[in-house]
Amino acid sequence: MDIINKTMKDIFSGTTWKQEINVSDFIQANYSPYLGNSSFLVDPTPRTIDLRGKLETLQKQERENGGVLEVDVHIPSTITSHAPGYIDQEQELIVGLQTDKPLKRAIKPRGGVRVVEKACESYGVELDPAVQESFSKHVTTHNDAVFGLYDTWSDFETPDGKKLRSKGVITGLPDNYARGRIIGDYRRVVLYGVDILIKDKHEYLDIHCKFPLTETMQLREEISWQIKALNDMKTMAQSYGFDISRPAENFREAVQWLYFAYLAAVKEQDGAAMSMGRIDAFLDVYAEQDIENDMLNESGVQEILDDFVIKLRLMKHLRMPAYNDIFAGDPTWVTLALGGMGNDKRTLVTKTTFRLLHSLYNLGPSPEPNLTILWSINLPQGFKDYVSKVAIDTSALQFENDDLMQDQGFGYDYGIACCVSAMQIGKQMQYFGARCNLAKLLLLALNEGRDELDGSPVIEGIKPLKNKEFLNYEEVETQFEILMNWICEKYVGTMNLIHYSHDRHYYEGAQMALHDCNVERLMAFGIAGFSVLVDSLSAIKYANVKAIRNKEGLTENFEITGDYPTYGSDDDTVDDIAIEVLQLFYKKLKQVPTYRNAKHTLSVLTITSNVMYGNKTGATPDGRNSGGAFAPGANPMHHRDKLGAIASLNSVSKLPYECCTDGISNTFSITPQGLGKNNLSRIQNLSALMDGYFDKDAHHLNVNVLNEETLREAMLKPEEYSNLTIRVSGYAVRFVSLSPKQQEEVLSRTFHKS
Amino acid sequence: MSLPIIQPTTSKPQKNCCGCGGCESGYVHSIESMGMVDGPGIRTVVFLSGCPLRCKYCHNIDVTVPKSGQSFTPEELVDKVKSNKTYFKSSGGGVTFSGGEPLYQACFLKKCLQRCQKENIHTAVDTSLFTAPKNLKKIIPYTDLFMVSIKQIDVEAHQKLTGVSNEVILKNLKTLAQEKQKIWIRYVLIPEMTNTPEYLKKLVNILKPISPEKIELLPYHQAGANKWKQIGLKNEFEEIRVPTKTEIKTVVEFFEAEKFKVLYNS
Repeated sequence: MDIINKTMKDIFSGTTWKQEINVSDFIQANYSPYLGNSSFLVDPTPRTIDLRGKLETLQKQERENGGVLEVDVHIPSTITSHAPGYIDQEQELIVGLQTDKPLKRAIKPRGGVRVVEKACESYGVELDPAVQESFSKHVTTHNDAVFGLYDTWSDFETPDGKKLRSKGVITGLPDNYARGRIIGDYRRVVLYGVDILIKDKHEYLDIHCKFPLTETMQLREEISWQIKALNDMKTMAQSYGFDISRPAENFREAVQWLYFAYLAAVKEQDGAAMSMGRIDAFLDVYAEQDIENDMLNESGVQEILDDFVIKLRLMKHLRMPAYNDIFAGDPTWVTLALGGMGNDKRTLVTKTTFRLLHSLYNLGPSPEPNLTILWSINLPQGFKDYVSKVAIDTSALQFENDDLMQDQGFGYDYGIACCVSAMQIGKQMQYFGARCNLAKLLLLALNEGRDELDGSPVIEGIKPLKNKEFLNYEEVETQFEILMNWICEKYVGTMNLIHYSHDRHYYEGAQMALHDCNVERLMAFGIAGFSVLVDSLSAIKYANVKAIRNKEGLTENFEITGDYPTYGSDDDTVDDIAIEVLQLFYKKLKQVPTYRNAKHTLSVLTITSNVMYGNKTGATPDGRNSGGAFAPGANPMHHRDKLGAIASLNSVSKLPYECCTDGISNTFSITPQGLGKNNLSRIQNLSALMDGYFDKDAHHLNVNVLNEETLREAMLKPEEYSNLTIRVSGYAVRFVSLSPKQQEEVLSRTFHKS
Repeated sequence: MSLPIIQPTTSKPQKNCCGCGGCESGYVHSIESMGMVDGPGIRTVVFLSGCPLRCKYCHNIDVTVPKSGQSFTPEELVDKVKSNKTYFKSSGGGVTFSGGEPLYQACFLKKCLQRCQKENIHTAVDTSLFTAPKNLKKIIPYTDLFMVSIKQIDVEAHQKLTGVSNEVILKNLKTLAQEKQKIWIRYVLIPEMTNTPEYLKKLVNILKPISPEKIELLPYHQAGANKWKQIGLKNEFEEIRVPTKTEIKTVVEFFEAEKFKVLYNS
């Protein structure tokens, strides 16, 4: 039985998508792969140039105002909370803002009202006392619920009664901010209209959700929230004068419907990462349709997309300044996955893939949206070379291995949440789990379970090492494994109670409405301090490491005698340790049951928290000083990669993706001169570099092409470099928005030269 | 103080050895796994220790010290290179043996090249050609590309600039041409010292019959100056300026007018 109306059925080909909600089937049946080069792309129209000017003025005002332009302290944000807002109503082709004014940030106290209060305070405004009172007295926020559980559960406390979360071992937990990382299939609103989606939800419940038991009631409750969100979406669109109850009928409507769906999500939620998913081939169907029917020309299509991208660049959340320690530069992770291959050997690269990338020229470089190239060896050469050119010109792209992710079962219609987390769009969601500081865990193993910095007990019953002074590898390994067992239990447990609370008190109605009802849940754990741990273990194994202890017997420093192989030199003797650590940690995580039977996944990704985690971690046996920054993600430690970039890439590419399906992040900086003698050879070399790297089953690469001198200059004259974009760890930032400490850390990284 | 011209190694050469004593193992100063400017494509650049020249502008002076760095057998070394094969395949790259003067350890070099070829790895040798002709002949069968660094074309000026005569170099260059080897010429542009019209014309006359595939112009830079200090040497070239963009452009145009394909940083 067809679920869609007659007109849409006649316009587009295919069968399955007409009988069930199935966007990828629609794409496969209707899209046109593009195998050419970038020569068809057009310059911005006067209208785009004008809007870009207004965007830049707003952004400048925001910077000058200390990072936040305005806060609405009165109205808690919901899908329908705010009256329509515009940048310039006459000029805008795509409309919709999070509040009634551009860059006016909304409050979302359902995550936790204290956080909102503090955020307001730090930007010199006061949260409306009525909001404060109602959310502290009458509403259980996500934060209240989690702390209610922590407080009654001594399992999540240290022996001296402190919260385990305060000890810096598992950290960055989404217990006082929204978890994010969920990608709605925003395309569904475009293809089907909201009414069909609501109907589909009811039908599912009728068939699959019969007798009231805990599980069915929870599902019914959630789906009722989803249906409410869908109805609210219609109301919001109506306030802008659009009827999204029906499918979109042309390209401009398609982009507008898509944006409304996304806008609903970001009005309802302020998750750390609010990704866009994968829209290039999908939107291209509508664009080519309109071009064929002479309704639009190339310039018309580009103009609509540029306008859409302007909206994504305006997307902002209200955060506490402390948030900047873990996620620096005010990122929103509007991650947009581009390119890749379909299931029939045809590439999913379309002209619209090029057009979306082209916005970096028409609108200037920018960290958002977080443009992510799904790289396959089989991508058309014209596209490979174009994205290499864009990466060289803008340092705003990241690359992820499409072949590898497809092999790992993500299919060909997956998106990327945040930085490196793959998910089948509309079919999988994830419970985001921050990360465990493995370098700190190792120090707990060397200090009988005491915090190496202040001696406070973190875990009881850990026996002192027999060889306290000269570390013995076997003994340290055994001790470390005991600590791993302990932390995995605590880590999974903590995640379970956080996500139980989040589901109940800060549910993502709009985003989950754009998923199948029987969604697969992933629980995404993470690790930090990876290369510090690996090099520390290598030093203990292959060199002589002497622990220097203070009066209390805590490790203060380590003396290393002799050489040891370091991770990042393509040397199996140490790279094997890296692999074993990941396999072991993942195995131990999997032994602990998860909330709603979510599938355990793991990432090696730090965002910018590598600086903060390092700051909270004492000296380590690899010779790193107390408080020194970790390398980001899976990167080898700075300047220990002595054989140049490819040896370093080779070490990272050995890490087993099958136990890290939440992603393995690697960030790489090279000077333009190091990449080749002229523009053409730089482009060719970068494309070849990507092919060579991903051919070795590596997962991810952030590419920066710039000179250290440029960054030093930007530190001195930030106002002249306000648009200088760099990739840090799975996302991009404006360099000048990083703290001086984070800037120094970026500069201390290896810049590969010729 | 300046570094004395280094005599061939005094260790006992093995049978058939050129005198480098490196039939079984050789000295590698360092390896750069991602060389994008030392030959075609992405290349692993192996810097072999030791050099018989003492170029006054040497930017790798630390590499000229013989028997410095790490000792490798050809097998060990090629194993390291092999690991980068996916990059060679995607870029049309390979391995470049540089230095120092790679032919300073000719036997070791030959064995490494031989192994690379067996592994289907494209081989380039970045050399001054200051070596005994018999050494050069040893490696010709295993070398896909010769990157010949001509320091100076004038005999006297060469002596002054590098401490040695260029007679054997020019002879070896001819041999390469006769053997129909693929040649790229590398030429460092030093204001007043190598880029005068007189020298350039002379160079063109020599190169025409050689017909190199490319001429790579390398503007002199001061990046290597610190390395001199680090090993306790005085660099007489500290005061030498780098060529201006206009100067570089003039030379590029000069070679292009002579129908050479010119490669330079732009």
